Amino acid sequence: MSAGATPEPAAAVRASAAEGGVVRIQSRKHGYFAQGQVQQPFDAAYPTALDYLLGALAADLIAGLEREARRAGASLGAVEASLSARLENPLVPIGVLGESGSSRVARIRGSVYVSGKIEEEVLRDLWDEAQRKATVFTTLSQSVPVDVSIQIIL
Amino acid sequence: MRPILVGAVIYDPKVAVIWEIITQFFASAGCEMDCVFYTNYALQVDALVGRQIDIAWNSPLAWVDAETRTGGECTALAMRDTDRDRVTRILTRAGGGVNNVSDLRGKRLAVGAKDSPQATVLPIHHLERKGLRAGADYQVKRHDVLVGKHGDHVGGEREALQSLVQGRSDAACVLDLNWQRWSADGTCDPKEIVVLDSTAPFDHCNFTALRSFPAERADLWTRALLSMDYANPAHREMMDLEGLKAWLPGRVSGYRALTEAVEEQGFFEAVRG
Repeated sequence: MSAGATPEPAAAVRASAAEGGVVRIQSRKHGYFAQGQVQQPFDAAYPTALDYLLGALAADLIAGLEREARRAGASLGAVEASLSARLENPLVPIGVLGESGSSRVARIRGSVYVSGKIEEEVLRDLWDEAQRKATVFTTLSQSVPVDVSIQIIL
Repeated sequence: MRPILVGAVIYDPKVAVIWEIITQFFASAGCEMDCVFYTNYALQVDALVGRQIDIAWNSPLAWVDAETRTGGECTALAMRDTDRDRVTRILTRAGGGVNNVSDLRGKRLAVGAKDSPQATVLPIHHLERKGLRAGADYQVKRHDVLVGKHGDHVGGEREALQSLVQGRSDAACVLDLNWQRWSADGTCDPKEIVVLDSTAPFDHCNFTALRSFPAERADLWTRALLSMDYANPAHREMMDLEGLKAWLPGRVSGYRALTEAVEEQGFFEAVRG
């Protein structure tokens, strides 16, 4: 089946404003909250929109890698990702008058750490395949440099 | 009635978080306010003078600018305890041959950004009072980090200090609070870098309003601000973030030297062309 023949969207959410700048999001049977776009106090009640974006990328990469490993019969052990996003101008999204540039993400960097008895070459193949199939990763990669390395931790 | 609009110049998104906390504090105190952020003080003073904002968190230079542009029609509502009676330390290397101010003749003085009151404008004025003219009697080495933010960013002062430490300058100007921190945290060795001289005390930032801002609104806002109590754990975090133990009523007596300095140096004429 070609991509264009799929009538249903792959994902859909509903979102509504709640008290105190909080946004309630509903996807399928799951409800969750976001607070703010980019920057919030460390102890804010909910993640920001940007937190979710990075979280989605991390989940996309880890879930994809685990799926590829399962299919290949490889044992990964623990998998952990650490990602960070830098904005082109972080003063723009908070509305600083006189600032130039854009609020867009300028770069995403990070690492995925894997522990387990797996040969590095095998892991690299799994990782390449996981990245190739990862929807969030491939989408973001078309608009922003995404530099995520993978490392084996003994 | 619209919330009271308070302007602030910020150079780091983390500072916006502090203002968010302050805004929430004001709301809980029954005084609705909102923040408008600017990338430099010139824009903020424009907004204050143009009545686009009600109150501006002004640097001392921005205060003098606003006073000048309004013909003295500004009022200082409040300031931090730490804004009062600051001094600039003029530092030199121990044993470096500069033992008193007159020894600076023919030497290199490292200062901060060109619009830093504490690290450039005031110490140059101080030395002028002592008979040393910038450019003629000593060489000024500026460290223009984030010009437009009036030296709020400590980068210019830190670069000035490094210039002294590394021997590229013979003296350097830093705010007393920064000297306290950097001589204690290992940024420089207080046995090697010593205080040569200090300016007279001056005041730093204040919340500025136009005298035309309704008195009852100004009083409401100022009362709420002054009600912050460092002993209250709920208030302490934001007070620590802003670097104060108490908010105090504004005073303007601490800006005389800076007012003289900007006139003497033609500061605003140079900026505005």
